Amino acid sequence: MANLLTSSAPDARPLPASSGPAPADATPVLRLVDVEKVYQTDTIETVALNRVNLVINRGEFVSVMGPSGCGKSTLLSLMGLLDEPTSGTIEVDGRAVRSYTDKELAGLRNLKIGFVFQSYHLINDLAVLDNVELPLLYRPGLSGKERRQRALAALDKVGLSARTTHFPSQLSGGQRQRVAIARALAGNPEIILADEPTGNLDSVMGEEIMDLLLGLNEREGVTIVMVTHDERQAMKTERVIRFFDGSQVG
Amino acid sequence: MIRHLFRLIWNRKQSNALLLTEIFFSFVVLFGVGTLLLNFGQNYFMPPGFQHQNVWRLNIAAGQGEMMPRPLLDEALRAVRALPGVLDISLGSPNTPFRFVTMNTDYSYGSKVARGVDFYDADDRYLQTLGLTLREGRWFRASDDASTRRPAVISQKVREALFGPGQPALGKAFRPNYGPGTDRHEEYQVVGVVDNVRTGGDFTAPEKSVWLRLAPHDTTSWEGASVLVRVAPGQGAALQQRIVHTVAGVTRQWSTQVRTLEADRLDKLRVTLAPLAGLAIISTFLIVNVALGLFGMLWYNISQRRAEIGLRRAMGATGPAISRQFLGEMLVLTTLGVLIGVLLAAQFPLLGAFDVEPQVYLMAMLVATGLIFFLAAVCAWQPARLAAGIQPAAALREE
Repeated sequence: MANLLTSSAPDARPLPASSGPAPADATPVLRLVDVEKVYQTDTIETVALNRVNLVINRGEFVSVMGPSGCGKSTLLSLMGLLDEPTSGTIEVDGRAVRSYTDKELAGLRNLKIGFVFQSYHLINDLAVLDNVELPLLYRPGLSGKERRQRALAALDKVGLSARTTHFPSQLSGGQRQRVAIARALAGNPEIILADEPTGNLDSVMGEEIMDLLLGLNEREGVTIVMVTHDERQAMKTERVIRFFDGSQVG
Repeated sequence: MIRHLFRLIWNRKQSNALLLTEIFFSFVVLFGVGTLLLNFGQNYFMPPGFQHQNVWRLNIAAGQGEMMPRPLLDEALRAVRALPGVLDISLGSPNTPFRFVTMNTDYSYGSKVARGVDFYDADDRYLQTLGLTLREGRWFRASDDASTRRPAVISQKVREALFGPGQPALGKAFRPNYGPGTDRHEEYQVVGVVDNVRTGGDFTAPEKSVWLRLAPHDTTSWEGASVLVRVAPGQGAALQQRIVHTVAGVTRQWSTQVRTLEADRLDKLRVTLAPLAGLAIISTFLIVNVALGLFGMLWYNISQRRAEIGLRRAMGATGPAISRQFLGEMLVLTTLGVLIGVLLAAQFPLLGAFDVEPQVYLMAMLVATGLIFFLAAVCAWQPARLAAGIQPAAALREE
């Protein structure tokens, strides 16, 4: 872990040398083994995930589908190291995350994972550029100038370089989601976990965001796991994983 | 990160304004109370400039409309002085130490003016009776009867105000400022300088004081006389009774009252401490209120920002980093509030307000600043800890 956090520079993934397609290789970047997640209250026990076994390979674009309440978002939280499974093992790059300290987990999230949420989760009191810089604030060794340059480059990728000083409230839903994607990209992560990224958008804007994610996967080789309700968009990804009542059904 | 904090605080200026106002007013309250307490404390530890122990105040009243001829008064005083246990006796004005009687006016020497100077009438035994400390020159004596100007003894503060620090005062003549339109042109000649005195009570500052020699003819129009009596240690009610009987033995027309200066001091102390205690209680409530306000606002602030906390955790912030952020925001806001408060507070020493020494104001500023930062840190600590413990997945789901 020490190597992962300190010796490998501030980037988890080298920037692509060319813009050609980057097909998935068979190296597992995330592995879930017999993962269970149970939410327990005083009177009720809810099984959110039931013995899930799953492998996400480097460079894959996987979509996760299923009805509301089937455990998709819980799965994404576990993959994003935001929560701990009740039982089972989650491995990142072949190492079980249960052995990581809280600080190491935070470092992993910062270096390896980018998040895109359905409701964008932008900080309304910060301008677009400051929102995109957010993950870089928690990365040691980066100067303010470097942070700014990376954030600008990420905004350029999503076509929002002209909106750096705007606040989230001044943007449309599609633009907000682009900012959220730029924020996920700014840290140059290996994996992007997207929780219904088009769920709050109309079809046109939804298509735009989908094209953006597909482009990132194809051109830059970013591994993407996307939770979606939209069958059409799921079909555009390489693999679809289906869930029902907390269990993987396909 | 610091720049990020400043930007966040600036962009949230509307919601932060209330917190900033609360910090500012807390500082002002603490500064005010601190100045008062420090000033009182500093005064308390200063020497009083006289020795009130074993000194009694003997008030003789001739009755309304009755005269108090000097020969009769002198006879009574001689009889009292002759009593066993009485060491010294002195006739003066009614503004004896610790009494709620003050006499003051302005005095000038050339272009220099000493304002609000307490003045006392005192006879030739006053110095020994009250135990004043003579620094220069001498006290009044019988040969002063022949002087053309009324002899005066001044305190160090009056010397500095009228003649300048370190300048000689003996032999110089100064005059009272009776204001425009008066035809009185008296002059007083300085024959001695004594240490500053604090006759107003334990918590008062050293006063500017002038003692004027009691003119022999003065008492003919008096309806009463104030006499200070220094007695041997251990004297009590028996001697007080004998003094009353002795005066009554000279004339039964006069009434007398004997009281220790210590009793007067305690009376003054009670009157001074009552409002001070009230102020301290109100201030304590105010500070507790402010602390609860800060605590509540921070708590509310964090509950409103749970999603942001979850997001920051998802972006790689550790729990302690979240804690530090909230403490940092509070620290920046506190610094801004205190800075505004210091700007206001600095006007007091700059303008020399309320005749309080600048060091007291500066110390009060330091104390208020320290207390505010302590208060803010204590109030922010628990909410910040709470923020650090928020589970990112749960916080993000709530949105």
